[in-house]
Amino acid sequence: MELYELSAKEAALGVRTKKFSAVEVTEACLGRADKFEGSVNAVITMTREAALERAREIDRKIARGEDAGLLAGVPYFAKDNFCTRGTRTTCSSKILENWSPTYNASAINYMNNAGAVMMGKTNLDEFAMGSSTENSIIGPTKNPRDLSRVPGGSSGGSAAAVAAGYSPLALGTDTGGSVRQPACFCGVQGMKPSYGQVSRYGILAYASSLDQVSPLARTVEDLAISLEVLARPDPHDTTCDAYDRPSFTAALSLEDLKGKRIGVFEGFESSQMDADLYGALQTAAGYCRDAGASVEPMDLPIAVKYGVATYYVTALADASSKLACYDGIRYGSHLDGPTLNEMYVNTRTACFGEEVRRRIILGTCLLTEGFYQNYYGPALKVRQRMVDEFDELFERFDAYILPTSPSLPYLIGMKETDPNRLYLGDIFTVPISLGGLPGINLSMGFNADGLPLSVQLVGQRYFDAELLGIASVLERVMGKPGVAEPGVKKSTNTHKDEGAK
Amino acid sequence: MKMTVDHDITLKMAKAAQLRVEPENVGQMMNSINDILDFCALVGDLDCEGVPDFTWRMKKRPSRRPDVPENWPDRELFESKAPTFEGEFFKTPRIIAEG
Amino acid sequence: MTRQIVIGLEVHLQLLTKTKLFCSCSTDYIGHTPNTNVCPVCLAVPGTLPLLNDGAVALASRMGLGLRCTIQNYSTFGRKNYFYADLAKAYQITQYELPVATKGYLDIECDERTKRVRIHHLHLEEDAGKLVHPTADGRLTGAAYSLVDYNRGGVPLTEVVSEPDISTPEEAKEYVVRLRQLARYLDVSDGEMESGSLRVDANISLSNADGSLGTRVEIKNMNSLKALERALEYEISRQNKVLDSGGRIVQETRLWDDAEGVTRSMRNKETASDYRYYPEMDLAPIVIGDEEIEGYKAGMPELPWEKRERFAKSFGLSGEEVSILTEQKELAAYYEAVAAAGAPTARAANWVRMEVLRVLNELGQDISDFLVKPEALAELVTKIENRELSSTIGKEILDLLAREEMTLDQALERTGARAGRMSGDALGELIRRIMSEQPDVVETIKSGQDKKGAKLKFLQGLVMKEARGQADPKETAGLLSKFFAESTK
Repeated sequence: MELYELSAKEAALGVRTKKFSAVEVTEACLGRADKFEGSVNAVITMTREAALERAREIDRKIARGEDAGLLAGVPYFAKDNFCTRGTRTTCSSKILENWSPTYNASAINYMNNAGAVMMGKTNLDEFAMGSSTENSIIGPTKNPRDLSRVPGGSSGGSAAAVAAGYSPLALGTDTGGSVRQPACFCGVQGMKPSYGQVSRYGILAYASSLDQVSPLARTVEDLAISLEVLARPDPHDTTCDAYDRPSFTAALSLEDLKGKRIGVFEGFESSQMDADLYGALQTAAGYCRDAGASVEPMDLPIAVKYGVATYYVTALADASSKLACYDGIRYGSHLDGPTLNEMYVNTRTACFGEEVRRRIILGTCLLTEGFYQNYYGPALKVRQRMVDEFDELFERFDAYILPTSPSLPYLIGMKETDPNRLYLGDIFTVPISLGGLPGINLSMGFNADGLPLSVQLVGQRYFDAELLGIASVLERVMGKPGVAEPGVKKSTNTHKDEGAK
Repeated sequence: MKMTVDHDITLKMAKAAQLRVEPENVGQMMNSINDILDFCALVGDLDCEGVPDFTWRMKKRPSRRPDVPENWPDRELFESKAPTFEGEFFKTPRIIAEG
Repeated sequence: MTRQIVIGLEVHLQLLTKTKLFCSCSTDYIGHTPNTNVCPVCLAVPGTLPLLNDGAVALASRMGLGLRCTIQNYSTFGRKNYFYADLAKAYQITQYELPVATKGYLDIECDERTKRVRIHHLHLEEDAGKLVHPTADGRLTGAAYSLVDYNRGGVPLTEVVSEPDISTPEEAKEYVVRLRQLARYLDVSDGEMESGSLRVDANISLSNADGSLGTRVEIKNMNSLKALERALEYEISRQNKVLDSGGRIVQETRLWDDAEGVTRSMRNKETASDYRYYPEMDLAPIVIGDEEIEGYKAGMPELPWEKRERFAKSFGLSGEEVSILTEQKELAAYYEAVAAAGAPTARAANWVRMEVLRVLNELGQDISDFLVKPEALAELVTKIENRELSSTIGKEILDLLAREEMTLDQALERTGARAGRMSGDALGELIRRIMSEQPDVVETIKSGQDKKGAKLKFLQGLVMKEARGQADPKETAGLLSKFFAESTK
């Protein structure tokens, strides 16, 4: 087994026990990026030298017998909407093309303090608005499992990096599915924690009430370790809950699902989705039953019917407000104009991409007197009803499963134009975001064409640890996704080896 | 209640968002907004009588920041980020058009 | 036809916190180098989040309690979205739906009667930065470019919104004066209109002929109490003229032009309905527990009207005296200290409101800068009360004490008042000496030519002057007429 194939857990263990050095792991991962980046295009900014220096520092620490942290020497990438001090943070937008923050996002600090080695910043749809990572200043990222297809989005760069073995871990942000869906498309594990679990300080916002820092990895255990590192109170973000978190890794000791009540979501027409993915859901239900869970069908009528509309209203309105600070005065790109208003318009029109501009105008409209009363106002109440619906559901279930995406990764350039199908793409992920629930994309191998299959596992808000426990039981049956060989061969099997080489 | 935008409202919204829509693209933008408004009008269909507005419930009440001043150390760094910093000020073009 | 005048005021008070509403930058911006009290949060650097200042919540709650409002256990923030160069985030974080305090009142005195102005609510919000226009007159019009200073951006404000209970410009002024006094008593705000730490917007309408409510006009940019009164007077006459000529009042915002003495329609600026409001999700709601509210209540100092009542009762003072003494809590405290040091309360009240205020005015000082210790004034006033010193010399001593660090004894020495009162034989001796020095005057009086008594007054003045104010005027006059009576016999 190659070093780049190791999980974060295995890599950290090996580095700490001096089986291999942090520099060796980092070089192995950099080697993967060197080999495939030309075809995958997952990374906006590589921080090769800083990564190697950081790896050397970790090795020195270990040589001195110091504790190098839970993620000692583990390479990771961060989506390019995390502020990284001194490293340019573009959000895939011309408006921040040359912007280097003067501070680190809290999540970045936590990763670094745990000994992780940041390798660079990954591609995304501009300002995280999109679900294919095609809409970027560096062009589309390709799916390492099939280079002709999109990696999903908006955290497509992070998902692709993990799938292609650039790193065992990556950070993304999930607003309405932006980590779970690319994890599904790229065949890796990805988890959106409960809202309030991880600090949003230093995340370039899309929607304040929805954005959540979310890890991507190739094992559930690595997701748990990531949460161990990331999920903590932060004095810089009062929406990050100040409560004491349980141990996320301790929950992984769950042996089976005896006594667990798992719901299987049936609130959709199977004809509306890909047959293989539908089949995967049924298989997953069987695995739950086999593991001892009681499995019952369930539905969320409000979430299904109103979820996507509520999500659009909420997210677009917020985006129009959060993206108003890009005015060409204090930071970012600037195009002159004879008056203040003309400068604003010149800067924002030239430096925001078409999709972002469209969403900002829409969001502005939704907050305007009259529209607000018919859209934003009702959406706030519908959202509360969705939360109530989830609360009732979790009186009967410990978790439920549903697809992450109704479709397999589609071909690059195949822009969806039918709005109804476009909305359908988010139907399984956005209600979970609106409810602030934890959701995990669990990989389930590949279909006959080598495209990834998966299921989404959802739990009650703040029951992230319990959800990781259930996920780890299922992962033992479903297998862990292996590293893709982009353009070399189709991914066929998940590898089921336990432990390091 | 479902709402729609016309040509003028589309332009007004763009203006409020400080964005320019070229005349040849206004129709497309208008249609795009109307598609979303059409779809999202759904949110008005659910009976929400007596339902409070959504806000996040938290496990622990967030503490408020103590009123103790601190200086941000990195002044130079963010001044250099500003595209139009002049002397001690951020600079903007004239606010009111001439005439 | 007299139309009913309906005025509601929105008063913004800058809170006396040490830090901004949502970040730890200092609020001490006046006279500071531009853009030095700034950080990523108040410059709206991407990724930053607001952190609510506990001190601002405490001060807003305190002001709310002073206005007899209900402090809400649960209140929320919203965003008011609009683009302007002084607003870094392009939205102002404010409270618009669930404010921190609601439903209170403030009593004002106008035309010798008490009027109750109801308070609709009070909320927290952040101030904007400042624009500097490099034109000769500092005005926006004609500036080729503008400069932005974000030092003020994010300074906490509380906005006190009254019900439209105010009926005259004088009442409006009185309301602001009382509100300012309350804010100062509570150490909530220094309430300086000139420096902008107190800002007033007025909503004014004239009722229609049938008594129904008229169209509301908002007036902004009134930078002094005088301006507030003048602007309202102008607006009332303007609206009356429009209505008299059969015109209609347009709902709009108008700016007061102090130099021209007119209000002007504020075009080119978004109107209220164009601001886009919606809930702020970067901040958790403000939760103020009952025990916290009890704590705020327990920490409330004596309020102006409570102090007035107590002063009237304990010191036996008139309404007029009490009003002046309690106008500023610092002056009231000074008076109380003088009284506590044993001074006769009535005379002390008189001295504080007349002489102390005169000296402060002459010196351009605040009572906090006043050199005369309350104990010293108490002793001085007591001596005057006991007729050990005349008022005249007392004033001279006060002037000295206020200008130089010295003890009362030193001042008595310096003014020659050390010796004490001059009366009886000593005074008689002095009078005889002065009479001998002014034979012409004495002769004129004796010959009965001093019909109006001016010459006698002149002599008396000389005596008083020589006596350095230590002679009793009555005794002096008595002795003088006695001596003239004797000499003409």
